Amino acid sequence: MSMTKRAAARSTGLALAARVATVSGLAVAAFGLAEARLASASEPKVTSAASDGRKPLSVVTSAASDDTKPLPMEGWVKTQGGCGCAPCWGPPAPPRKRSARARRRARGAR
Amino acid sequence: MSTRVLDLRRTARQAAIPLLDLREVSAVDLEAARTNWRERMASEHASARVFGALVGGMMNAGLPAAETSRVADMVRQELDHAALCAKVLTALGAEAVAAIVDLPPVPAHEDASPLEGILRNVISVGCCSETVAVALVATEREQAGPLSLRRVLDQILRDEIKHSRFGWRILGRFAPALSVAERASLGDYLVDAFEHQLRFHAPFLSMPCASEAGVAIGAPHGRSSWLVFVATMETIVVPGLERSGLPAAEAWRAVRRAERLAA
Repeated sequence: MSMTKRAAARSTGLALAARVATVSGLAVAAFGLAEARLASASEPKVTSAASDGRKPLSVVTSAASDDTKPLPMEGWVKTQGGCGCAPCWGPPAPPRKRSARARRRARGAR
Repeated sequence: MSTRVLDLRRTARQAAIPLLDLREVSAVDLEAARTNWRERMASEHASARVFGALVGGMMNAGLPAAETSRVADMVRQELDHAALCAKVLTALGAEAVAAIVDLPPVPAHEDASPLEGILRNVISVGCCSETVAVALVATEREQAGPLSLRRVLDQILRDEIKHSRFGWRILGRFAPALSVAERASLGDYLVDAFEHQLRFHAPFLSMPCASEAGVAIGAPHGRSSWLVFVATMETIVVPGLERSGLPAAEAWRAVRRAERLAA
């Protein structure tokens, strides 16, 4: 199955993270699932027309062409919100642990 | 809320990256790339304090001195990343100046034993944030255009790998020493840690999706980054934590239940 350049890059990134996270191979096995999901998720595939050179590859991998399908956990963000900052590579300060009561109250308030 | 300014213009001029050829990049993508690298510069700089705070918690929990020493090195590595981001920003024709707002304190977790407290932070920083960072940086590295940019990403990636490995190593070594009560408490904390990850990465969904030429110089493709984040959490982080005997799958399900309940 052919993938767009962007999807292939994601697969490479995930494969590396999986190798880093484990030496036992468990996460690497799980990565197979990730790869399958990513290959089918909301990314336009390289069509035969593109891959045989009749259209430039950039047409099928171009920006925003995959902007219509829902993404995993997108609904969570819509209902729960984000932090408003820019997500970067540097780790943010970890959260405090909420009390069970605070956690229940937070759920009820949403 | 106070605003601080991070000015790395002088740092960026030392061993500077030559100006990049930007003729094929649209004005919109160029501005998005500049914004991204500027925010990265500020974020990497601010992350140094997160590792700095881990040092005290590790000492308090009696973790090996060699590991504490490695984390002290990570403080410097984050500051070096900020300098690298400053050099890229300058090579993109922008000034290496950024605002730093809101630096939340790193929690000491006084409600937990020293070991559980430091493991909470190690899980959040090393196992979650840095593992996601490895996947994101490696993905971007694959798409990077200019050689000088790929070299910067290689250097950052090397360190992010060390930071992620540190998290998994510490967890693998010390999670077995947790009591049943500590393990259950840490399981509860995972819900907070996962929700925190989702909130932190949520802005990917409102970020623009740059063209291939834009992504090649670091302009964001928000939806693609979100896919990487979710896949990393679901297929690498959660199974990895489960492997350490923590109820991560249940915690992730609890987070997802909140999505369904609110829908």
